[in-house]
Amino acid sequence: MAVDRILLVEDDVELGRQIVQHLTGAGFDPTWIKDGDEAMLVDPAPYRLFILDLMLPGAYGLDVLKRLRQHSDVPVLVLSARNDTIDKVRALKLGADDYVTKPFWPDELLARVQARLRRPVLQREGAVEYGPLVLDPAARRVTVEGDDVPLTRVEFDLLSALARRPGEAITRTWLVEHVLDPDREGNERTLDVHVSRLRKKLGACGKSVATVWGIGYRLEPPA
Amino acid sequence: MSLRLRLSLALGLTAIPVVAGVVWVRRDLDERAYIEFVRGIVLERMYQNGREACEAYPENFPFPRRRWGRRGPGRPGGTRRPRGDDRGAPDGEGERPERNRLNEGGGGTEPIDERPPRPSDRADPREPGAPLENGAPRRPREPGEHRGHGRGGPGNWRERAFREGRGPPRVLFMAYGPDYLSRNPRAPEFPKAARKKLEAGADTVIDGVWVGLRMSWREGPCCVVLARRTGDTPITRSGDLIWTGAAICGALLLAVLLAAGPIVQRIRRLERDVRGAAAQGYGVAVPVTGGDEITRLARAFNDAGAEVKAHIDAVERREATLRRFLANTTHDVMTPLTVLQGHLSALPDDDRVAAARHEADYMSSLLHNLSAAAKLEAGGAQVRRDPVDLGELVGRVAARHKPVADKRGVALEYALPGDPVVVTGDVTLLEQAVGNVVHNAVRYNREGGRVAILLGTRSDDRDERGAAAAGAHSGDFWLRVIDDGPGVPEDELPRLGERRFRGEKARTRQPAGQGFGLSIAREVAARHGFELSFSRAAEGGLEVEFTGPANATDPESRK
Repeated sequence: MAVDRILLVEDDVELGRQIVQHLTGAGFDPTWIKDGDEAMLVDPAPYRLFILDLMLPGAYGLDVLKRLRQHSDVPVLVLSARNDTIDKVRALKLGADDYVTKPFWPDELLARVQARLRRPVLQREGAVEYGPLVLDPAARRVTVEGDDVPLTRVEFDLLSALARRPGEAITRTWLVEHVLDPDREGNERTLDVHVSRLRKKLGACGKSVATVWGIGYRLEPPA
Repeated sequence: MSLRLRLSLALGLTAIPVVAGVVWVRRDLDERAYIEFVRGIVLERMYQNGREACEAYPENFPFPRRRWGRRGPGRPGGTRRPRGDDRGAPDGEGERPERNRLNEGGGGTEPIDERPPRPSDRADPREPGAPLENGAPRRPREPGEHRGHGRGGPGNWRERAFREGRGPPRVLFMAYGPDYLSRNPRAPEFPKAARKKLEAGADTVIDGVWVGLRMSWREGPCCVVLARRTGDTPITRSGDLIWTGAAICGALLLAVLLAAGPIVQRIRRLERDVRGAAAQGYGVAVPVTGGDEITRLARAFNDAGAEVKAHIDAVERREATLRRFLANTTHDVMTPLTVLQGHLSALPDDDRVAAARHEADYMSSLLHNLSAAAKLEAGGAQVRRDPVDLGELVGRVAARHKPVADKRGVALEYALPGDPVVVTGDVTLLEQAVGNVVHNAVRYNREGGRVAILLGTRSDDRDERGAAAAGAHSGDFWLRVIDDGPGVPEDELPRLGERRFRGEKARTRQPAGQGFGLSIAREVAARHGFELSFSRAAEGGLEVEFTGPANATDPESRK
């Protein structure tokens, strides 16, 4: 996987340096521009993401965003120090994808960046891979390291429901309603039984189906 | 009480004593005049020859004057003057028929003195032999008496004359002895009240229509005289006066009511104008018309309104400056604080670094809450109403607090429904509100604790919770933050997030976040028309739930 290039537009030297550090540490390739006017002229093509501070000398951050959106769909993450809702709303309307309010922890910024860069789940009717786990919705087939895993209808539906939103916790309530056989009386206890059977059948990949406290289950992304 | 009514009542009430006073004075004057009138006639009569006649024949006194006149002063009574009260008086038998006749003719016991019935009578030649007339040239004698007798009695004549309004009033009187008893058996009993006053030393008393007079002589059967005027007394009756007074009061009342009408109307119009001006923030002046006190009042109001307006403007300017100052300061602090947090997170974990991180986190949350509080207190204009995707909001909140939760060893997870949940509101405030709740859940949890944020809509929520929230619309969202921390005692649950962020308590640091943050959450929820409820989570800790109306989901509006 190629290293993702990120353009950072940040006027504060200390903060800029720190963000660059953290992005680099997280395996990204950041480019840092300190001035809004300069940002206006940048070619967005090589970058996978823009991190844009709204308070910039020279061109106001929103102007940079407006200019950028005229010819690029690159995701933009806005850094906002202001608590003014209007700025955020305006930024979102102008095409910003997300914002992070200062002060933030580096991990928070990284989480937002990663969320934006997460590769979309393959929704086509082909096989979906999660490390050794491969799920083929069309054939209703699941393999772990190439071996077929025989699953019941409910177990397969359960796994594919989790796989549709990998990394996201899904509530028990939702699963009970959407996965369990509506003709049979199903409750969360029944669901838990199905999940534990599924885990056993998946063997080594069983840990991927994680229990999330207070919520339900989640398919952990492959390590 | 309305102004008009008050004026009327005041004037009416003031008029009552005034009228009463006038009535009293009038009565007093009337009475005095009456007494003088009666007294004059009686004294004149008695001093001329009445005394002699009376003392001579007390049983018959007063005789018709005519008799006296004929007999003249040489009557036997003159000799008996010194002691006139002896009972042998009725020796004048010759007079009895006369008196009887008189009584029959007069129809009563009242003795009389008569005044001329007609002015023309004054021209009549005086009867030379009538001693009564002597020394009384202003009082013409009464020729009618003769005629009256000739025609069937002076009473008839008198009454007729009086009825026809021809005759002036006459005085009837009766003589009494020093013991206030009359020798004349037909005399009425001397009024007790009058007697008391006379005994107390008064010379003239009045008791109703009766005037009691003490003569200058103190003895004899005629030393006290009781007299009255015939016909209506000239004293105005109290009833009439009261009616007159009432009429005057009524007229005054009516006059005030009518006069106050236009005034009251102008005041009402001024009130309307003032209210209108106040409703527009005193930006407009009250129309000033006329040139009276109400005009001046309107002008004074305009002056006051202008000052209020200036004051409001000044306050607003100052507030705007303060807000700007706070926003700028916050901004200026946020960037270095971010840098500080970056450095802190890069440091190796130990107790002191953890404490420093905690402080930085506290400062950050405090700054945001102060901004939110300033915004909430500034009022409606500062709170925006835009579409807010709660799913994205929950993601941001979780991302914001995850680093802190991770450092504290608290698992923070969230779950979203498949579809976006959009509400209308101020994204900064809502994020702050949810963030505060999550912040508390993380902060007051123990190491190894867990916090979960769940978002859903009623249609997704057909489990037991949905049933419990019966009455909620299917379009309603719920946003739940649960933890397995120590929770909050049942009896303290309702007090969580009480509005006290203006109070001193809110400024105390411990438990710093809790009071301030939760009260902001509650205020934000209230401002958005959301419900905020606190309960014990089934999982053991605290469960905080926001509920409210979600907008109809429109996939097109989503990026």
